[in-house]
Amino acid sequence: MTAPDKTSLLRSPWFDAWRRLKKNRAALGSLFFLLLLMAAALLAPLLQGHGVANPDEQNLPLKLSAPCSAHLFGTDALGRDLFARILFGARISLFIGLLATLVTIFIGVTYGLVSGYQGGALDNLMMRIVDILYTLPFIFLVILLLSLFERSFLLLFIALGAVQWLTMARVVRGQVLSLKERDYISAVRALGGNTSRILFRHLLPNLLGIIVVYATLTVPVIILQEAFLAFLGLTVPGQEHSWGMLINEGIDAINPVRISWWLIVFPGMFLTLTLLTLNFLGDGLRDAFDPRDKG
Amino acid sequence: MAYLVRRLLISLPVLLCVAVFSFLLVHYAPGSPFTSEKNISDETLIALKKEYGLDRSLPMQLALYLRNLSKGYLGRSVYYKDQTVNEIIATALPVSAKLGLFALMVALLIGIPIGILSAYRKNSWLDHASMAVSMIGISLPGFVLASLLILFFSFYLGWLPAVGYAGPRYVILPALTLSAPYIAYLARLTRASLLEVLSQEYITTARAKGVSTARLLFRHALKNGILPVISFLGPASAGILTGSIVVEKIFAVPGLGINFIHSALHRDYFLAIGCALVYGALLISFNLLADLLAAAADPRIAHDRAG
Repeated sequence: MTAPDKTSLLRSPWFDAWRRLKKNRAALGSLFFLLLLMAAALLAPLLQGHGVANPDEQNLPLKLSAPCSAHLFGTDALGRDLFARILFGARISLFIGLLATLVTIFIGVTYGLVSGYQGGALDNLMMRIVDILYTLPFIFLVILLLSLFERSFLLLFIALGAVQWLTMARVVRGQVLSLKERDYISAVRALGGNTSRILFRHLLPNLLGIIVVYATLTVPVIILQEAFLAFLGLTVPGQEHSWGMLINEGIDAINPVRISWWLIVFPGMFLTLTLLTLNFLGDGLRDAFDPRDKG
Repeated sequence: MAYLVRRLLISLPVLLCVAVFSFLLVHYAPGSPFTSEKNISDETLIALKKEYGLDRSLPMQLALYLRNLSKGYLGRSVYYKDQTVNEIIATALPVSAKLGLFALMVALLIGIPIGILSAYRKNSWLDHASMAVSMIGISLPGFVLASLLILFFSFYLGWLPAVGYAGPRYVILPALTLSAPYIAYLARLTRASLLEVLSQEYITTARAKGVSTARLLFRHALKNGILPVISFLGPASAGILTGSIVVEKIFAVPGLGINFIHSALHRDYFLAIGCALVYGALLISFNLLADLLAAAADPRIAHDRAG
């Protein structure tokens, strides 16, 4: 085995995808924004005291003050700095979005791999189950679940991950169905490779592209659902700072006499921008990995 | 036809699952509908439980509930003492239905023309602008849009009422909030599907025969280009249904969504299960209806499914 030379590097699907993605300015800009946001969210505790205020520090004389140089995004009903609260809120919202997406990847990919590779009656049964689960009014059951039981992070992840893996399972299964008929898989089998080797060494690497695409598109769905549930007041302990909660507090604080618009506009802007850029990036990645779809 | 029957047959067990699942969920949850009432004596509690049949064993209660359900009776509300769940739903559902239907109409009447125009003037500033705005429309969460609309139209301009439900003026902002993402989806979908149809050979043939672009678009392309839009109606109605919960909460519209949220928080057992059931039934019917419409519009679909 020799080290990959330049031509084979050029032909790697990841390199090709990256080359196509680079030409997509919307996707690239989105990637940049998201990396910046993640860096800011990760570094938020370190930045505290160096230009970023303590998100929990109350300052009642300064409550509901409009954006100014001291408080870039203004303050909330308890005089807390909104910029700091949004920055720390990003930690919660992004964390929940990424972790719940990992859960959906794990369930969806495993389910899709098994269903697609086994094929036949098992595949049929597993896909009918997915069909039925799709028709269930999940969000209403999730609302019931979260409003009735003692809420915890685990319950939230079960609730958020419960529906989203369905799409991942379908996509992965479809890809496996076409991949497993390829010659190289027959070759591995002829050479005596066992099933787990075929699944994890030979099929999974070829699925990574599509998994990355759908994972990127799942994150905004989860962040949105988390915000939706937080807005309904169905929060779990530890979720108090999330963007959905900030907007919820903003809605409680606004009234016609004192229009504290910044309490809605800034958290809403960050939430929307994050969802927008994730969607742009996901679409860009899909085009990059599968140029045939490009319209 | 066989396909339709099969779909209908699978809907009933799914609804039964929803009923049983939400029943168990509600009954296994900690707390009871009567915990909020202070200074309640043990005798009263027992009497209350007996009145609602909550003193029996869980399987007995479930059996009783399902028997009532088969007669179309959803039980009595525990919170609104003198009303049955059927009565509450009968007053709340039309409010939600009117709002949802209005939002859907708005979405169709604005979204599809924008999509046609964007396809017609592909790559013009109009196309780019409407596609960029629609991307924002898709990403803007309903409760953010709703609060922005209230801030601007109710508080700043003072043109429209912020909350309540007492006439046509009260419906505008909630309907706008509900329809916004679907205006965006429909515009993008219509555009994409028209552009795909326009690249097909029969369009090239028609063009070669000297058919004008406008006639090409409306007479030849739109018929096929509208098919994905029809298929999208099912998910769109379902999304509007879900979105109505948030919208009803923000704008204080007395619809089904608000009753559902309150019933879950108040442990109003039968109302919560009843609402979940109505939502489930609506979701399933919307998807079924959209499938039927799609099959009626495109014989190929009906043929595929028969085979």
